[in-house]
Amino acid sequence: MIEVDRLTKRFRKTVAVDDLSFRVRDGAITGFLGPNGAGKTTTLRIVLGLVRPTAGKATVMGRPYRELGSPARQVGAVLEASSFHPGRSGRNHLRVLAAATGFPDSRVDEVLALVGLTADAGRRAGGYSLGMRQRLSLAAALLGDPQVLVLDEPANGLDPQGIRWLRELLRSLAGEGRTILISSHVLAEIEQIADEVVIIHRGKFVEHATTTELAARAAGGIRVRTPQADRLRAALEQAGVRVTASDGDLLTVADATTARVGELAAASGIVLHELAAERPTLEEAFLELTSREASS
Amino acid sequence: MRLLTSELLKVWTAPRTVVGLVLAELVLVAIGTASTIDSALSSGEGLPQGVGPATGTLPPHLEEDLISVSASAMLFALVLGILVVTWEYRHGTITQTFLSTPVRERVLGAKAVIAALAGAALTIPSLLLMLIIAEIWIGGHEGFHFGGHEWSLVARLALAAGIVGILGLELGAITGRQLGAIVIAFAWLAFAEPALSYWSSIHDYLPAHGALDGILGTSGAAPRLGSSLLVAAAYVLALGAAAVVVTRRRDIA
Repeated sequence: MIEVDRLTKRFRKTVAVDDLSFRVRDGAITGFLGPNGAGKTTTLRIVLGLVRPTAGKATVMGRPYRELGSPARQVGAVLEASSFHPGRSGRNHLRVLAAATGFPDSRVDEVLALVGLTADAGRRAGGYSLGMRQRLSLAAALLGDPQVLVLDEPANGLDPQGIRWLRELLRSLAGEGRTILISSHVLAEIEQIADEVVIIHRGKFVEHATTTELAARAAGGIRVRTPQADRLRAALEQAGVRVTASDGDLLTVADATTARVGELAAASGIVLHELAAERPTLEEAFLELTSREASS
Repeated sequence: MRLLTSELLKVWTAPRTVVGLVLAELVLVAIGTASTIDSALSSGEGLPQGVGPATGTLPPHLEEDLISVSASAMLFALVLGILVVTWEYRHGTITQTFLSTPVRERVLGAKAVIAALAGAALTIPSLLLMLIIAEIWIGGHEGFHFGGHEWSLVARLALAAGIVGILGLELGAITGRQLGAIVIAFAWLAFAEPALSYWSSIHDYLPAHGALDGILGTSGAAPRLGSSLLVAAAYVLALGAAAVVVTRRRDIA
């Protein structure tokens, strides 16, 4: 389990993380969301012992990262795609890390195969594409076959095939009971793979919920398409139902169920061509929550 | 041992910088050796009247002068020591290093060992080149002799280069910046130490003019080896403590 407890980090006058607390559940994929500059990367680096907090603490498996006996066997991390000596081959980059933690070179070959880099392993990392660097970062994170993965924007630079590959890899790792904390800007990706999300804004905690709960909480609407839009609008408003948008034969209705809208239309003898509840996306929920936080 | 292997692999698997340093060192030593021998031969010092350089004797202490030329390896040991840590910051690999080994002083310890070994090893190519040039050029002369005294000076040079490698590493760890550390080191050697060495009371306590010269025995200071080593150790410990404190507190953001 990853636990962040009243974490604060100040860089001179800038407060990057402000009294932030949350827990990442064992065996779950947790998305870590926030706008640019929200403090996600700083939080992850504090969790990994790379940045010292001004106040509060972060623990992994109950202990600060620095105190983990053999951290590479317990936690794997992808933080940035350019942390390579450009003159060193991908394989040698991993050999250096493997030597530091006592893994044999055969494990290097295994993770290279896992991320699909075997063919390019002998090339200098300086000549790798961004996507290949991300794969190499993932290979480094997986070297110790860790129980916990902390990934900061792992999909950056990956092409659609790569993103699909990453999604399947993470699902497979989560299926083995691993704990994964993943920050990303690609909310659609998070929505597809995460069980839960933690949202922060300006360094502060905003929300921690399952993706389903969060989407359900966001304001959804009802799409109604009818050739008698003016009549339907009048009937709905007379019944106290709010019409939030109208565009020709299309109305968007809030604060009502599809059943209620259908019954009101039928009672007024209005023909409907379409009646559907709009499913709110994680992106909509995220934008709603962060804009609410920004205006408060 | 794992950390030492890893640090050694870092140097071994990205050899361009080290090869560049060795090549630059060899050029400097070749020029210095040629210049020293040529000057010894042309000065005629020690040569009997009417006897050509090819058969004449050589000036006393020429071997020591040639070893002093090889002491330029210490400059490269200093730069290599700085690079051993600062190239990690420059390329961002320090993140992975500290993720693998979050107890940062252990990383610094392993790097210090590698910097010392690499620094001492840098004296080997310069000595070899110097000996090859000397053997070819003046090998047939009377008086050119590499004996026990000369080899003890070589051992001192290797020891001094190892210490310089550690000092370079510590300076690099404190600054975290490649160019900054190199500029500070050379500014100290070129300006600060020469200025400070005018005060005779502190001369022996300066890192280069005092401690390292004493270890090398280049200033008639061979008897001062023990005290010079103590002064050098004090610098290694003081800079090392500063490097540990700064590295532990540094945010890898």
